[in-house]
Amino acid sequence: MKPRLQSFNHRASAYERPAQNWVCGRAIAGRPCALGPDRQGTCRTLAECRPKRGQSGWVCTRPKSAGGACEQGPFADGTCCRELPPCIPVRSLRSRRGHFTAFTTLVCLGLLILLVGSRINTDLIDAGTVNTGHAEVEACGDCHTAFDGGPVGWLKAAFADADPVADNEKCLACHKWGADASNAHTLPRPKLADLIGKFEQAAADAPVPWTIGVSRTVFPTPLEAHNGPLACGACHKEHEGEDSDLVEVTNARCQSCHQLTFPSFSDGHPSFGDYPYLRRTRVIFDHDSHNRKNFPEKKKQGVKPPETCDSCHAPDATGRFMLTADFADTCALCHAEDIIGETVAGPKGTPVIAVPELDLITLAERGIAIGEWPETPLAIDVSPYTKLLIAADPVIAEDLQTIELTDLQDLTEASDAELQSVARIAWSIKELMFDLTISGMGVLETQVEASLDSALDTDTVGRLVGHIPQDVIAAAGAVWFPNLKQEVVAYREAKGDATVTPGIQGDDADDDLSNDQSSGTTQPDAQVVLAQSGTIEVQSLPPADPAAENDALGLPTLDPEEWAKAGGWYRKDYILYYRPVGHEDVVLRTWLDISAQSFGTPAERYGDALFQLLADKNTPGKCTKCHSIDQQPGGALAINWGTFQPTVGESQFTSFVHSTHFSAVGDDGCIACHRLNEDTNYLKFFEQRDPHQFVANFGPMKREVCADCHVEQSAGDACTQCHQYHIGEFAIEGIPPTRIDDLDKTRPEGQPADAGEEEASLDANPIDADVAETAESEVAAEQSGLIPDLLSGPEEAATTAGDADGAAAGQSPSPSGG
Amino acid sequence: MTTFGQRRLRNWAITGMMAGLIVAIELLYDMSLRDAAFLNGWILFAGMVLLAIFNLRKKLNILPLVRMSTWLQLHIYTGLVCLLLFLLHTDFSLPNGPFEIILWILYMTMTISGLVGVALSRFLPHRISARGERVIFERIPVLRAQIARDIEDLAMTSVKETRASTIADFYVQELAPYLRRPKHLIGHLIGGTRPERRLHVAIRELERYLDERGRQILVEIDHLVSAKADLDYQYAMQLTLKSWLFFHLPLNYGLMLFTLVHIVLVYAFATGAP
Amino acid sequence: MSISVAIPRPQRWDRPLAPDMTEGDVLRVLFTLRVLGAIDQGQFPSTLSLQDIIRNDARIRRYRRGEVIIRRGDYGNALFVIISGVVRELLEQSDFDASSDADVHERRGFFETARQWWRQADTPERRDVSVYQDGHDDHGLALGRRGERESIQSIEALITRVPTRMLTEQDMFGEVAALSRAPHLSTVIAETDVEVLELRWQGLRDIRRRDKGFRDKIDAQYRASSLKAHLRESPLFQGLHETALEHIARHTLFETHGEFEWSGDFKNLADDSIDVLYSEPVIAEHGDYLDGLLLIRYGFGRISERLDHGHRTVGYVTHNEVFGLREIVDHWRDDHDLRLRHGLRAVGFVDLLRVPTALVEDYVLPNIPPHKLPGPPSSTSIRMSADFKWEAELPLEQATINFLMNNRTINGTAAMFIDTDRCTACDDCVRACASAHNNNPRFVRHGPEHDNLMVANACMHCVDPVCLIGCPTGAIHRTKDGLVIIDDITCIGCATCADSCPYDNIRMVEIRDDKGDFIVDQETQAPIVKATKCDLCLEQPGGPACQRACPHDALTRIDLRDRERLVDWLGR
Repeated sequence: MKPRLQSFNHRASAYERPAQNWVCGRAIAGRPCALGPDRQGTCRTLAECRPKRGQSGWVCTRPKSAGGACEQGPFADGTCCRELPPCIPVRSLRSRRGHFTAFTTLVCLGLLILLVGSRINTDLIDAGTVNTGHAEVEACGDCHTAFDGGPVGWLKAAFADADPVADNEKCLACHKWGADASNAHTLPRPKLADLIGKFEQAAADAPVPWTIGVSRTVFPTPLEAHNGPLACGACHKEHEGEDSDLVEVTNARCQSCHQLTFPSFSDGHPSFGDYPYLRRTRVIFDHDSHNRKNFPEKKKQGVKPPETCDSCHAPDATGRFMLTADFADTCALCHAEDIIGETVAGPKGTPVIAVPELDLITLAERGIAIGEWPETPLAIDVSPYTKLLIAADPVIAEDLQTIELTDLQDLTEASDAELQSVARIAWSIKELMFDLTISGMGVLETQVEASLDSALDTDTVGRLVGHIPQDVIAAAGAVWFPNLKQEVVAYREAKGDATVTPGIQGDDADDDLSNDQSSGTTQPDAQVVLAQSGTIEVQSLPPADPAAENDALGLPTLDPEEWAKAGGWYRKDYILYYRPVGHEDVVLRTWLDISAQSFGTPAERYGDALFQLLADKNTPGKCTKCHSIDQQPGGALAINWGTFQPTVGESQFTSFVHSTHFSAVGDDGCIACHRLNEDTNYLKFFEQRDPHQFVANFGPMKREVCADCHVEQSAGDACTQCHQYHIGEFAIEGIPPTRIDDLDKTRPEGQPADAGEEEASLDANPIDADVAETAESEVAAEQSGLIPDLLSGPEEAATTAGDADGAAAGQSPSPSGG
Repeated sequence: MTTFGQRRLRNWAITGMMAGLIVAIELLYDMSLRDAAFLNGWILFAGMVLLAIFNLRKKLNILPLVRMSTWLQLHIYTGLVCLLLFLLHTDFSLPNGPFEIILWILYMTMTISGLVGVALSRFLPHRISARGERVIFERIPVLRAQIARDIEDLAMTSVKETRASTIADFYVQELAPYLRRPKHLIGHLIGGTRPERRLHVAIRELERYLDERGRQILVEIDHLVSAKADLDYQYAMQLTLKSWLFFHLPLNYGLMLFTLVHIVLVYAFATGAP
Repeated sequence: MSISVAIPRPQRWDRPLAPDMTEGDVLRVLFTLRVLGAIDQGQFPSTLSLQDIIRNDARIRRYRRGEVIIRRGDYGNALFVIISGVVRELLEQSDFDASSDADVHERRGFFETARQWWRQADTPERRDVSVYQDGHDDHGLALGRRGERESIQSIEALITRVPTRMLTEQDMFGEVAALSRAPHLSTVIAETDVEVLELRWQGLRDIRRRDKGFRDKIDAQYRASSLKAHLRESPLFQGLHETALEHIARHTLFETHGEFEWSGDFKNLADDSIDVLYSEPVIAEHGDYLDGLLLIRYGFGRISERLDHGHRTVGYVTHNEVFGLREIVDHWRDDHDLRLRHGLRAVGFVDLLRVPTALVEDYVLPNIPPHKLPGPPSSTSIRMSADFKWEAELPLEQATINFLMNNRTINGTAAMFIDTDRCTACDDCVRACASAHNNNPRFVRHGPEHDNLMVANACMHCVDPVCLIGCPTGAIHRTKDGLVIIDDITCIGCATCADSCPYDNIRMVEIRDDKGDFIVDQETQAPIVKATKCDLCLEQPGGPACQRACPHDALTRIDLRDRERLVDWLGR
């Protein structure tokens, strides 16, 4: 059987002392000495035993374990005969562990000093790589205000209760979130307060999930969340790696402030209301009726109406909005001739200047002198344009009012005052023609400005008159009032108002107007003057008849309207017409805009009539047949010339991206979400001018539809998927402000550009220096085609921005440039 | 007297509750737009201090401050809770700053070595008792030397008494080196016995060259050899039980240093910290 | 070799019990006290003369009226002989008995402990030599650490209240504790001013060993007084009328089995061999007719039952426990036959009283509440009435029981049990022990093993501390509450205790100066050694440091008399 190794005998087995640091070097060899090393760990045993004195001299005391007493025995002096070379005591396992501990601790300390103390490389202590969007941020100090303090400063900063938004400034240096950047939702204080108010009302009796309830009671949301400043860092966590999601926010976090809380999108999210139809369409278009009536009819006529939605609608660059294609590619198919007037009953042009028909007989009888006046074949009134053009003179403006209800074709009943007004108006029409002929556009400008009392630039005027050639006016004048000049001159002399027509004197000095001065000194009553001269009386002119002339020559007579088929000016009888040249006709558009703006102003009384004329469904151009008219707060009207266009840089609370859903809707396509509202009779909502009173062609979006996919397991239901935190319109970082003269700096070395000076400027202005650098690098980059064209449109900027901070592609452009 | 089973059950229950509580608090705290890392960070630090105090208590071994066994329980289960806290704090992933990676490694080394330590402390004792005498670690060299001497003596006597050198030769070639120092420690740890068996076979092989007396001696030697094997076994086991502390203990202070600096840095560079 | 401190080797009687004992005192004692005077001094060698013994191991103490001389329940190791005056022995427990729960040691406070921990020596076994050299200090071995005396005002009132016995000149008392290493059985109070001779165990032992007359006289008194006292002490007989008690006492036998100094024979036995059982003297055999109830007065016995050709150990009884009660009760209750269901063997040394069955049935059982008595034979629960315990089978594995019995571990009141299934050998216990003893461990973390139980080599503070027997100086002694401790100053390093400890739990150490060199004997140059062992941290505030330091719940100090705890712990 195996021998028993240990003996428990008290003589054979002494105490073990694991607490001692040193062990006899001979223990390894199995023969530890009794004395053992001293506390410094040096061996003290020199001999195998310490002899003791017995009755007869010294006795060997070598222990049995070491072989018992030796034969030779101790020397006479009592020292052991067998001396023992000193051993090398070893440290106990424990003590070695202690040393190792001390060692590792020192190593760590050294490491720390290296990492923190020396600032050779701040990457060592940084909390991790930053998002690629922040790749060009190099120094910690660029984001952390505390950094520059150095280790000591950090220690201070750690214990000082720092302003939580101290570092926001650093973020905002690049991210232009505007003045309210640190407010919740970057909204201005009052708006925020207003919203909070609303929410709190709404949430008054909303069920709160218990978790959020508890959270609110245990850790009440910091008040800052509502009206104090918020740190960017509260939501945007950096140092989470190159492709970290900087904009990720948990639903719960949103709900910590948003009192109207609910478990998930599919469960409890408020319905969308009328979203997305917050106003009627700008262009009046009834999908329903077109689909049911117009398209089938056109089909019969062999026209090929659109068959798919995308023949009219396409997503914008961001993919968010489905925009409507241009007129030319869509409506023009059917509505082109509406504009050039083909489909209009009556004149295909709009009467800009017309000679109104007057009851010449009565005028003559009552001795009202208006000089020559044509007997107009077709009864017409003073055209709204004309009114607008002559109303500049307050007297005339007065008169226009007086004769508001008078029948100009039959003045028998008219009172003297009315007749006087008629006369003055007649004269002012002549004067208008006269002035137009003599002094050109300027007159028109002054006239319109005066009557609308709003300043117009020449350009607008140009558009107003559709760049009408002088001859058209001249010819008209000549045909309508053969002696216009003489008459007007005389009339003005009579009025004693010669200043207006300086040109005349120059023309013919020998004219009998030479004695104007004398008469100018005396101010006789106009009537008298007329009476005296007697030359100016009512003199009806026979209708000018070019047709007859042609007949005489046996030439065919072309109706001017026909002649102006392609649009533009034409004169017919005593009216000067303008025929729209096609879609986006500037003349009509300008007149409409002017008159529309006049609403709510004193000028409305002229604008109105004109506007009625132009906005009439049957008027040539038929602009307002499709372009809806909105009443604006001031009362002024606005015509929606275009379809909806997204505002660049605007970020709305809700953002839906069409393009990402194309794949989702499957064969149903658009109708998966856009379902027709049966017989809304959409058009009727355009008869009034409030864009918000309407029922959309399509039903509002249903939350349920979205919720089919948008659950946590499938398409996700994070708040931030549809909602954006930063709301408002934000400046987009454009091209860096590079100074052209900085181009010199891009020259290769040794070129003329004065280096010394440049240095100086660099030193003088570090900003410039930076700019210079960036400029340099950019140019360089551009040459090597590294960075995208800096002139890329805002959408592009937006998308790239989106990618940069990991926002869902196509969300509204965030200001963190491209 | 509560059995170990009951105690384990109780402590796990408590730990479970703690874990639940922590996760709950974590979530609630995050909801309130605060950075939960600050909360669980501090709890974690408190836990670490508690864990570190264990060592201090171990040193102040005669002061009447709660029994060490209670402390160990506290230490183990706190360690577990802290592991959870640590994972939450590091977001279940390796941080990506050099400083923090070092901190992470330090902490993980501590935790893992700790878990290994617990496992060893629970499983090895059985195995220690399973084979040979349970001897005091420090005495193993002495005993081994003693065995070596005995075998040497036997080898000598065999030469004297049987006038045959077989055993002596075998001793010189095989046994002497085998007895000089512990052998096959890894083998013993993983429970292998092949080297010993080989040796025993070799020893028995010698019988055919020996006379009666020689055989007796051989048998004794055989016993002594297996005694030496047992001793190696003991050595392997007990050494393992002692050596895991070489990972667990020394890093303690380093970890603490790093943690403190970490806290300072975090607060210095906190943007929008509560 | 560095010069080491040399001091004279300490001798027996370096520290006499009373340094002021004069030659005159000794002669006076020998003259007045018959029990000593009768001794033939020729039997004593010149090195160990009776006078020297008396001068060094005895002292004359004077107590004023009402002072307490010994108290019931305290451990004592001295024989008292009245020189003059009268004392009263209180025969039943009184409020002057040693209170069992009270802690008799002044333990250190928290901060003192902290200081001690801080001030630890960094070398082993360091001693301050001056302590040995400077003169005698009354470390009060005889009296225990608490030297102060307590006294009673109205002794008459007391006498009327409790049954007492009057002792006068020449009478002896305290011999029971002295001889049997058991606690005093009665309190003794001075009725008048008295003069007593206190003869400590070491002297008593030497005289008793040599003089037969003295021995017989002492032993006779020991039997007599301990018999009656024990009867009275045993809860079984509580409330019995004095005359009844007298009657029982008269018919009760006082028996002593086994060897008084048994450690020698025990050490010669190979441990864990079955022969141990047969080497133990039989007290009662399984199946024998039960003539009387056995009250274990002192020591302990092995309970076994016959199994085919051998005996199976089922448990043990130790002092203040009874054997055979179950059988008697069954016989008395429903007339089972009076056959012993177990056998009883003396483990080491056993004193017991044999109370005739008839008397037990007539006097004792009737006035014990039934619920305190053992249930029907079927019930084998070891949960017994707190008052008195009878033999019961231990619900432990046979091997375990054998292990505990054969190693006589049952002797321990604070045995160190280590669960080797949990012990990682981290040595925290050893280090804690060292810190508690000025950087000196006082036990070795090895010892007999069985299954996953190791009984480490740490003092068990035995019920029957045989280590005390041989000590020439009384350095190793019992505190009043039964802890066995060694007085380092008095110890002369003779190693008698270490050798006589059956469990090798006492170790001799070579003491060192603060440089760490051995302190040597002036003349022989041999290192001075001292006996050391576990003192159960009697000065530490928290109790045994080893137990508190074990992180793995592997180590405990266990009192083998508390079988419930034993079973619980082994079955954790």
